[in-house]
Amino acid sequence: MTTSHVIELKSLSKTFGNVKAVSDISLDVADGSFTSFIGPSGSGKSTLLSMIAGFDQPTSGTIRLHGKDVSKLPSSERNIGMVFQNYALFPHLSVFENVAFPLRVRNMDARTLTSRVHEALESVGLKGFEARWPKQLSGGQQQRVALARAFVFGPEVLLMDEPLGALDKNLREHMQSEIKALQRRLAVSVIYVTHDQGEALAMSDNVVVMSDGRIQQVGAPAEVYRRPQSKFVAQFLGETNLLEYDLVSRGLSGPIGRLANGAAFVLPDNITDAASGTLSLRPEEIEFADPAESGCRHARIEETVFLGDCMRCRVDYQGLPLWVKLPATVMRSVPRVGQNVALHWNEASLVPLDD
Amino acid sequence: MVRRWFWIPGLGFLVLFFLLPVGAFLLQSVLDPGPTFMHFERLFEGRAFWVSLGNTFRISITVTLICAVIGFLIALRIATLQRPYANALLVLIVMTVWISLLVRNYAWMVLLGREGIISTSLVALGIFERKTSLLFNEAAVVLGMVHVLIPYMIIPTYAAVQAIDPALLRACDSLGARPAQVFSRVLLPLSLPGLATGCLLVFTLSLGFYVTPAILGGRGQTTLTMLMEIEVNEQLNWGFAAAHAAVLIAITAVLFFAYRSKFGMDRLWGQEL
Ligand SMILES: Nc1ncnc2c1ncn2[C@@H]1O[C@H](COP(=O)(O)OP(=O)(O)OP(=O)(O)O)[C@@H](O)[C@H]1O
Ligand SMILES: [Mg+2]
Repeated sequence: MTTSHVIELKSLSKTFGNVKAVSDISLDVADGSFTSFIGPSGSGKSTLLSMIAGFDQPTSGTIRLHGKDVSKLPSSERNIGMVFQNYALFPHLSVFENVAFPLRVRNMDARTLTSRVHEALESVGLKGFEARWPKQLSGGQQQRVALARAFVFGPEVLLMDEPLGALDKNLREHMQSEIKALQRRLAVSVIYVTHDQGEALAMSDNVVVMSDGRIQQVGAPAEVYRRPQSKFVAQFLGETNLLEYDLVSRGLSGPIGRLANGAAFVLPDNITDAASGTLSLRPEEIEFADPAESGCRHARIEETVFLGDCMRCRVDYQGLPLWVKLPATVMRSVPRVGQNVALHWNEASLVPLDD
Repeated sequence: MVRRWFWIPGLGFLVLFFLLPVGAFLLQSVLDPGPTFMHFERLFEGRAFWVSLGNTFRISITVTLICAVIGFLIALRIATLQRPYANALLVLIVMTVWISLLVRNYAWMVLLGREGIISTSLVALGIFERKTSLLFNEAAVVLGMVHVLIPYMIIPTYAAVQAIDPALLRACDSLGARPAQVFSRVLLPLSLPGLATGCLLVFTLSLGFYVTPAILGGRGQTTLTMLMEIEVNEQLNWGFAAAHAAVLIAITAVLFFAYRSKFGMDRLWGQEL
């Protein structure tokens, strides 16, 4: 059987003293995919990446690269490209020599080397910068050199640890699409670490949400965003309202739940039989309806936050605070604080969560 | 406002206690007894000068090279230690500079002498047949000088090594560089400014060394400073001694300016020295 996984992690753990930085992680990464690790600070993302790169030895578990166990190999023999947050360019080498470095240590002949370096620099848009020193480049340009240097030798996978963390917002978004385009063009597998959820959602084929050294959920960005499995994932990726409910009955018309404020409502069908549970309801899934309609949920606007393309409102739903997010286009009349509204949501947008 | 005048006492001190006496002494090389180049002519014609100049350079170069290799290795090792340990070691290294040169050189005399622990141990181990003095040769001089001068190599080299971003070394690894390549392509070039500073310090200090070659060396280790001592103390020929000094100072100045043009102006990598 041919393996189509670039990386396979088997019960990987790393302990520093008594800190379990990474505990028991198993994961297969599809070849050619863009996979993001996302999680709060200290969740073990960098440690995991360091182990894949070979800078840190796992306490237990194995790492396979294209089916081959590399757990014991030194970093220099793994053929993995790495882009560092602070770029880590060699200050004593020109842009050309920085990119040529991995080829020189592989004793590549001068002609092939020159053409490979030029090709790599061209693909990151730095043609003509060969003779510059790293110090003479802007942050974004240095990042591109680091990128070119990391893929010029044809690594089996590219690792990036918060590569855009030091750039300002506009440049960061620009570099996101460039990195994404480059990854598609080179058809190289990328493992990307970030704690910017927008970045992870925008760039990835797969998102791996981590906390406390463990994987919380893996899936396509839309899947993880729409169907979070735990409170942690629901709150960490985007914003959400957590609704605690008690199961009242499993009637013919579907299960009925009761919220803390006493309001009864229809639960989604895939709910468990537990007596109580938690649902996630994204703020953008709630709409304001006409209060005159029958069977509607009355609420009062407590606070409004204008965000440009949308507006966030905190409403008081009969004693229960909820966030509602309205796109700017539907705000025909701007919601005011103190205004009475009716809330409307689709049962399908209620997502049951594990605790 | 006050700050602008702060340099005056320092400069005054330098002029009064350094520039004036040294200048007055050097002037004697062309003014003693009257305006003359006699001392320099005699210096360059005599065999003793060239031989001792050769000795001085040979010893200084050997000492500098040995200090560079050992000092760099020590600096690399210290840089891999945790901060508190590294600092403690550096303090120890700097403290050795405070111990009198004479004390340290006499210590070597005791250790390397005929009755010294090294000689007697070697006899006990059966390597030597009878007790032998290991003194009064070039190895003893070099050993004594390396011992005294190595802090001047370690300190600037350590400063350069510890300023290297550890991420660069990880980058090397991930890019496929083997340890020897990491050393030759990254570690060494990035430490070079520190090494050069150390070499300049050790070499110029070596050129002017007197005590160590005088007490640990033999005939073959006669240096320029020893010739000067003879001229001043025995021959009372100050003009001739000053000519020796002028040559040493000229060599040091040339080295210093060469260093400055290579490293002092080199701001390309933003390396602060
Ligand atoms: N060398 C080390 N020695 C001791 N503990 C460490 C070491 N490296 C990491 N840790 C600990 O391991 C845990 C995970 O750290 P890690 O750097 O992997 O987190 P991260 O997810 O990358 O966080 P961030 O988003 O802040 O970069 C943290 O609790 C950290 O303190
Ligand atoms: Mg990190």
